[in-house]
Formats: sequence, C-alpha cells, structure tokens
Amino acid sequence: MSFTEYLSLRWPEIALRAFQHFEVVMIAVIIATVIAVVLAVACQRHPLVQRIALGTTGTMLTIPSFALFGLLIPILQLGAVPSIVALVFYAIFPILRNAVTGLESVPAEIEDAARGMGLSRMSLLFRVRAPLAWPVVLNGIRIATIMSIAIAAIAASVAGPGLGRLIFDGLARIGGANSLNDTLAGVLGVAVLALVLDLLFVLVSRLTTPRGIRG
Amino acid sequence: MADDDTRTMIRLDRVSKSYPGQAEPAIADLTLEVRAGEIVVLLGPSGCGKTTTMRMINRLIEPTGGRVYFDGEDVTAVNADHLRRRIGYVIQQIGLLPHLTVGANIAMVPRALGWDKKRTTARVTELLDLLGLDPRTYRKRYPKQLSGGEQQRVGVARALAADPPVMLMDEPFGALDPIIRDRLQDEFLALQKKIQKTIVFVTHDIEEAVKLGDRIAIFGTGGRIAQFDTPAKLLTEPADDFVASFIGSGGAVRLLGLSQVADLPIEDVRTVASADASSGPDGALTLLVDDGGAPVRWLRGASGVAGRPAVVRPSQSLYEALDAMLAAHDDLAVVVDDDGAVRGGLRWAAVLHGTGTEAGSRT
Repeated sequence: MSFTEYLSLRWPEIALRAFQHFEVVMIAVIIATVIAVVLAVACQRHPLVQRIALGTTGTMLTIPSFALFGLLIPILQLGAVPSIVALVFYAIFPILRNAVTGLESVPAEIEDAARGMGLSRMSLLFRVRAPLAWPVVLNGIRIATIMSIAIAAIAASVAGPGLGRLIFDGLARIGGANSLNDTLAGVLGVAVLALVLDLLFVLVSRLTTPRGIRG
Repeated sequence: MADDDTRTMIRLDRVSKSYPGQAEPAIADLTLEVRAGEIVVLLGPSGCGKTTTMRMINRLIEPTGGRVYFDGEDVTAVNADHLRRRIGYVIQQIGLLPHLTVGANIAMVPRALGWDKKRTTARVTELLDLLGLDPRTYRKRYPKQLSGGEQQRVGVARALAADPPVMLMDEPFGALDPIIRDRLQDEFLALQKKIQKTIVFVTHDIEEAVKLGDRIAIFGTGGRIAQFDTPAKLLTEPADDFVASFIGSGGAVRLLGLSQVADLPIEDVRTVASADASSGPDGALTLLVDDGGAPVRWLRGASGVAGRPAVVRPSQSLYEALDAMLAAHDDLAVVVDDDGAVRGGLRWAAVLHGTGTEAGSRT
C-alpha cells in the first residue's frame, strides 16, 4: 500500500491521535505556565532563589525523556497522567526563564515612574510589569509547546495518547505490513502539528501584544 | 502667592539616610523647608545627595532618621502609595508606560484614585491643552511615536493629572537638546505662573537653577546643604568657597538674567514722526518713529551716531537688554511697550549700577 492510499484509509485514526497529542501537550503547557509564572513572580526579588529555580528546572531538561517516562511508571503507572507529568517537567524551564527575563527587562525608569505615581505593588505587577513582560513570556510558552510536541511522541512508551503510538507501533513491526507507513504518518504528524501551533503562536502574539510595544 | 509665603508645604526635619555597610551617611541631619507655591531647586554635583533628598519626600527612599512633613502632616510613616498619589513626580528618563496611549498614561493616577471615566477624560483633555499638545492628535498616540520634548510634556501632564499640590522633578529637562530644553523651561515657568504648585526641582545645572528657582539649595559633599538662598543672594554672596567655586565665574553675568528692564529707571526720549522735523534743544535724544509710535532710527542718539536703535521690552531681562545694546553698538536701548510704542530709553550705566540691588525683587 502506498503512503497516499494508507493516508486515505487511515486518516480518521491519524487525526484522532493528532488531536490527542495536541490535547496532552496543551494540558501540560498550561500547567507548566501556571507553575513557571507563579515561580517567576515569587522569586523576582530573590536572586538566589531565582538562580536555584532556573538551575534545577534547567537540569531537569537534561534527563533523557525516554528514561524519565520509564522512571515514572512505578509511581504513576501507564497512560495520559505520566505523559502529562513528564511534559510539565520539561516545559517549566523555557517558560520560567523567559518569565524571569521578561520581568527583569522592564526598564528601571518605568518602574521608578510608576512607583512614584503611587501604584501599589499589585498594580505595578499587573498593569506595568506583566503587560511589558508578556511578549517574552509568550515566546517562552511557544518554545515549551514546540518542544513538548516532540517529547510527547515518546509518551507512547508509557502507553500515553498521541502520534507516538504510530511511531512505536511501526518501529516494533519494522518490515511488516504498513510498518513504514505508520512510522512515517507519526513523524510527519508531529512535524505538521508543530508547524501549525507555531503559526498559531505568531497569531496570538500579534493579537495580544499591546500596539505601543509591538516591534 | 504672597498669602502663602508663610505656609510651609514640605518640611524635612533632621532627615538622614544611611545605607548598611557604609560608614558615612548619604544624608545627615538635613533640614529643609519648602513654602507653598515656590520652586525650590536642589543643586549640586552628582552624588551630593540631592536626588536622594528629593526621593525621601515621596518616600521612594525611606529615611533612616528624622521626620518628613507634608502640608503640616507627619507623613514619615503613612502609606507611601497614598502619599505619592498626592505628589507629582517627573524624572529625566520620563518613564512613560510604552504599552499605554498618551491618554492612558496621563489617566494612571486618576484611575488609581478611583475617578469616574468622564471626569478622567475631561482632565486628560484639559492637561493636553495646558501642555500645548492637541488632544485630538495626541490622546491616542503611543509614547514611541512622540519626540523627546513631547514625551516630557506628557510626563509633566501625567504628574499634574490628579492636581497634586506638590511636584517633584528630577532633572526633567536634562536629556533634551539645548533648544528644546530652553523652550520647555520657559513654558514651565509660564505654566507655574498659572498653576502655582509647590515644586522641588533637582538639577546639576547652575544656569537652569538660576533661571527656574525661587530659592536654591546648594548641596555640598556628605549630603549637607551648603547654602539655601534666593538666586540673587547665592550669586552675590556665596556662603563659602565651595558655593563660590560651584557657581564658578560668570556669576555677575548670570545675575543680569534675574532682573528685568522694568526694574530700572528709564529716561525720556523725544520722538518725532518725520526726519524733517526741527530738532529739539541741544543734546536732546531724538528718535524717529513711525505712525504707530514704533522706533525707526535715531536722529540724534546717545553715541552721537544716527542708526537703528536697540529695542527692548520691559519684561525682558537685563541680560537681553545688554545683548541688544552690544549688537547695536549703542549704550542706550529704546524701551517699548507691548504694542511696540516707545516708552523711553535705558542707559548702559543704569544697567551697570542697577544689578545686584534690584535683583532680589524679581518676584
């Protein structure tokens, strides 16, 4: 069976897997965003804590994803939960780093003027620093998302949902019927999904960046 | 303004600021009183503590000792955010919020104070007009679309938004090019005549200080005030060598900028409408004027030469009068009123003897 024939026959399954893939990634990125942003705000006035947080989450990135998924099995068994937990694990660092950079990059004179006007700490954060840091934070979320799409393919090793299943199945039966088509569909699906989400982020960034600070 | 002369708006009472790990305090036992409606300039070299002193008034820097009084009220320990909403704040780097429009920038403090939308909008319009920025054009613009001069006008408008009685200004015109700076200084003085705020103004520029200040506090080293006086007093009677050296040479020339032509006696000048008219008594100054009474040329001037006269208005400074005389190579300037009609003549000698004694009576 050619790849086109395979696609026309199997597209409902592929689309479903792609959607599940997307779902797992988005859940993980949203959780990671909340954790990272709260962490960034909490440690903004404590350089030491900041460095520890960045160091720790950065080191977590170096753990091979296949190993991490495997290590999570005894604790969280199989399925979507360990997949999401592992993805959150990896997604925190890029978002945290950008949130920290974004908050720090607010020019000192703008903060000085805002404090001089009598803005409280909360309004300073929500009305001045957060809007100014937002484009940088959003870029962190974008990087985390793209990265998670690639890593989520490995989640099939813990029976997680998504396009990874096609890849793993195909590779396991290499030489068998449709094994190459399965693998190819999984790999291409991951690439297309990453591309679509990247474009989506460009759009969101255009729509949510205040006009005054748009480049 | 005379009624308010005795009312103290800001009082720093033996205020000090020391930083941990530093043996010498940045500010030690500093006492300073600012009266309602006056411009007090804090002047000194960088690192002298003038900005620190100013920032202790709105408690962006918390004093480590002493008390701060605002309109008679001890504000050393009140909520700093609430205090700051009653004090306008303008800084050299301006610090407009780049993600907000000009209108939204100006509306920051009114919003924090909970004004309703209608009142805030009206106030923004009023302020843009006051600062010479057309509200229709500028309200919706973003800071990056403005020139440096326009940005600082918005900075001043923002500081005035909630009509605070006091304004703190930290080298507000320091980053602008000289021509724009000069124009904003003039506009600022004209604005102050209208709004009568109590202003604390930090600068390291003696010229700016003399031009803008009703009183000037010169900071010496170690956060202490070397002299606190009117500009004229400071220029004529520096308290010590430090003040004298900071003022530098040219103090007497700067003094000319403080007095106006109107402060000096003028003498009569005979005017004639036609060059053919019979000349007056011997030696009488004779000036040819046009139909409107405006000066055209000397028929018999003080220097004995007929020529174009130097012309000054009563509101101009003696500096400008001397400049006009030098340019016309004449030791007599014609003083005209606002309609351009001749009022009399101002002698070089009158300027020479008039400065110093008259200078203090500027306001």
